[in-house]
Amino acid sequence: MTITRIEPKRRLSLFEWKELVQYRDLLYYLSLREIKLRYKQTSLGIIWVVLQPLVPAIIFAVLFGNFARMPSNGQPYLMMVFTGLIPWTLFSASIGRAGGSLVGNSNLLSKIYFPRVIIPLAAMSSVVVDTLVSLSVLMVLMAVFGIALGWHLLAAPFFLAASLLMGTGVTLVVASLNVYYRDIGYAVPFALQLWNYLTPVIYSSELIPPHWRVLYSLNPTVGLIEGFRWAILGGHPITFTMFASMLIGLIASLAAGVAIFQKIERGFADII
Amino acid sequence: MSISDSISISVNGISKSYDINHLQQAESSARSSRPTSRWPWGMGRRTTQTLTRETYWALRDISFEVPTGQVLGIIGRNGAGKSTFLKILSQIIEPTQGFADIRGRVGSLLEVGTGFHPELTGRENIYLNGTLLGMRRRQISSIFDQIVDFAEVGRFIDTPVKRYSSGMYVRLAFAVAAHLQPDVLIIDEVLSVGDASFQEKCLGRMQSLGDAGRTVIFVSHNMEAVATLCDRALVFHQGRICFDGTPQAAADAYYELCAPSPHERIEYRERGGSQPDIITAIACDYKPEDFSSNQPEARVLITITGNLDSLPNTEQCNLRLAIGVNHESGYRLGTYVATEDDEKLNIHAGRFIYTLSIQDPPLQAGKYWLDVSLLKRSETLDSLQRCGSFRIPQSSAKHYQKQEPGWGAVRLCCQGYNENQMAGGPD
Repeated sequence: MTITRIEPKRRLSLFEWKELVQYRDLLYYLSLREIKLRYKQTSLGIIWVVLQPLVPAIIFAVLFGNFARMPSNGQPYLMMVFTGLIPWTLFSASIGRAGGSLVGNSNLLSKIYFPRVIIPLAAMSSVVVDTLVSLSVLMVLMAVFGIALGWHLLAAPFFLAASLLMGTGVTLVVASLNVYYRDIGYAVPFALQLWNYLTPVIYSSELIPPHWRVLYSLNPTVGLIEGFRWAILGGHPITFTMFASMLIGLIASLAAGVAIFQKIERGFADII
Repeated sequence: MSISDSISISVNGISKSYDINHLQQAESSARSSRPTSRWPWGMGRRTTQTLTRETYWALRDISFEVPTGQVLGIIGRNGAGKSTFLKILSQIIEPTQGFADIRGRVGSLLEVGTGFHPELTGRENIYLNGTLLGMRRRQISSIFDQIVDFAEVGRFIDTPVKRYSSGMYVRLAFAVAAHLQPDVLIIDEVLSVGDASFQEKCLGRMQSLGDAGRTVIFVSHNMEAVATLCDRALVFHQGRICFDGTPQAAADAYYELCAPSPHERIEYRERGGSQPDIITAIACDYKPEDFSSNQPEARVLITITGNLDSLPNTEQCNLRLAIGVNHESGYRLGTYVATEDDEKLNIHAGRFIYTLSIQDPPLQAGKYWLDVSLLKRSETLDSLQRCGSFRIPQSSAKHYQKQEPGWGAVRLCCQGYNENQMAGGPD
């Protein structure tokens, strides 16, 4: 029989992957709960998932594409916005929905032991499902607009995975600091909105004057969006700066997320 | 160092402290203070001068061993550290000092129905709750029918639990945990829910766990349950173990703790009756509603301690305990009489501690006084006037729960209708 040792945590300890694997069924059922509850007792159900990215995309396409005549890399403006919204929503909605998840599940944290990281991960699951629905909408739009398929499509899963992982890293930071400082709950929607403006979601990065572009590309989410957009629509591949800052941002946010979460998760139940 | 085979739990010098800050003008109720937020790395210390910092030890140097198969009871007054200790054993919080070794899988049930969601069906909740308690999906499937049988929910298993009666809800929640089959089961005061027959069933289930060689740690205020169920009991007092022995002796030690010290005396305005020394302490306290626990209603808790040693043949003498609630100005607002017949009183020879809870008191904010009398048939044994008080604070939660001179003491619970609309209908 195994012996569990309970003691004050040492300064450095590794992330307990084994335990997470052991509790994978819990992750499954908590995710299921999240997804079921999200659209339970709504009469439109999954249609909301379709409408949420599509309606803003159409509005932006009409406003910026038709009226303001902003550049869109030679592609239909609607497609440009929609390909921007998918990775951006995956990234930002993860943070938005899971950032408060630890505080929201304080009753679980203070009554039962399980790997705490499951809570934010389960909260993100509904965003992943929404993204899958959006992707099928994207396929329909691609057929409607006759987008040429090419080998660059193979890169799309990579950029989606990068959006998800970067979102996970930031989520872990936000969710765990939120336990200590509820200010985070107010700051995050505001910060995400500012971040959205600095990311080419509803506009193309072509809009940025060339001498500002390198500085602009240091934002790690620029690579996520332009990368996915290129993978779907083709055109110019993303610049080296965009790709490098995306990778660095990805690794840094994941490392920071895991480290901070790991560092303070034992104190959650005392504080929450 | 590893523990020997016959020992299931070994606890070595476990202590737990909280840093508490209190505002200088605030009341020094250190117990109720929550640990305050601070930077996890100790940076950015707060510099507000009004804050003073103090270390509060919720647990101090707890050490004991539990042999495999023992059912251990833990008793103690509120705030003695019992729940904190169970949380440490359940790995929910971590100790400040010391360590504990536990052999085998630990199942802990600190609250009935944690993780249950009203919108999900019974089936979905069984799987969710089971995995929360550390079971795998396959394990749950294999005992699924047993759980449903035990909970007696039968054909409602695919109904959202929000449509369950509260009894069904509690039965289902306990059933999942009761079939967990851990090597060590940790249970905190969860049997206070459910009806009598179900409580019996739960106790039976725990008994059989113990008989099957599983180790059980059981926290309760119910001395009777501890005495029948446990092989041994610990008494916690102010974060330390102050007694370790048979459940019967532990219960005596517990009553000893609850008895007032000699220099402590009850305050009253007038005292009368044929034996005006039976009641030794009266405590009363207002507890606001707490949605995070199982207490969604506010209540006033009145605890009366006494000693019937001087009274012969208490079994047949039909005792009654009467409690009157008075407004600050002196007039009587209401009376409650607990009798032997309604089984709630149940006080016999020797010391007794009787707690009465006034659920959701319909009172405005303000201070209220108590009269307490102990009666034997028509004879008044001990009667105290103005012997305790509680205060209901101003609150925004309940409508108009405030103190205004002309408002009276009773909080009216009303519903209004507009007759015109009722007649005409919404169309």
